[in-house]
Amino acid sequence: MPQKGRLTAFLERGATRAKTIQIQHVVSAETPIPDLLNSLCDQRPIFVVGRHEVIGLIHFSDLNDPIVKLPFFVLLEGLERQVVDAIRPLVHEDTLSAFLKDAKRLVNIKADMAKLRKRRADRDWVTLLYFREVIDAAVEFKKLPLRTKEIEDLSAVRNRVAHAAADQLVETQADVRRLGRVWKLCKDLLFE
Amino acid sequence: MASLQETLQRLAQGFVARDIMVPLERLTRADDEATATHKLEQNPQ
Repeated sequence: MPQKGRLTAFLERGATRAKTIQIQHVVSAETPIPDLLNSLCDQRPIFVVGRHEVIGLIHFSDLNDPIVKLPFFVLLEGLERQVVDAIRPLVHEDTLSAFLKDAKRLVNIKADMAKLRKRRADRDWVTLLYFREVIDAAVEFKKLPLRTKEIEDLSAVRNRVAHAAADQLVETQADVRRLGRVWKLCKDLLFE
Repeated sequence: MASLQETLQRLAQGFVARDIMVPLERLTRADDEATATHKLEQNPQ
């Protein structure tokens, strides 16, 4: 509800009284998207303030804007690159079975490599691994200290970030919390 | 030259609330509580 042209209060669906917009309801327009995640876990929606007045609103479903994928893509790609460099010397035909538990996948990846070698392609084994397999290998070879739940979180978010046709980035507030966990995990692994 | 880590950090922090917000002009607004309630009832979804 505007006062002298400014938005000062809001009425939530199902509520009988309007609430005055307070400090806990707002973020700066220049707040990095990952820093919004905590606020979007706790409440919905949040108001965006620029030049001392409300200029917009963010609902947690706005995290499905394709722009949100970009900061996650940057960190996940950086993490994958770092991990691939760490495991490359350790991944070869004899060690694949240590982290590839699916027998069919093991057969397929060996067949793929055989085809590549027949064509004289100079590829190493890590280039044939999926993201999840790269992470599993890094954990197996003690290059990443991750628990199963963290691996699942990373893989789920990475798949949604990397594929335009994948599921929405967030469908529930649990997905927002998962995004927050993955963001923190990537930062811890890359920058600390 | 900035390190790769510094560049990653800068890129990752470069996308902000303003980029994904619904701007004020697109919000449903009212001058008072009664009108706001009425507008909400008219727009159940």
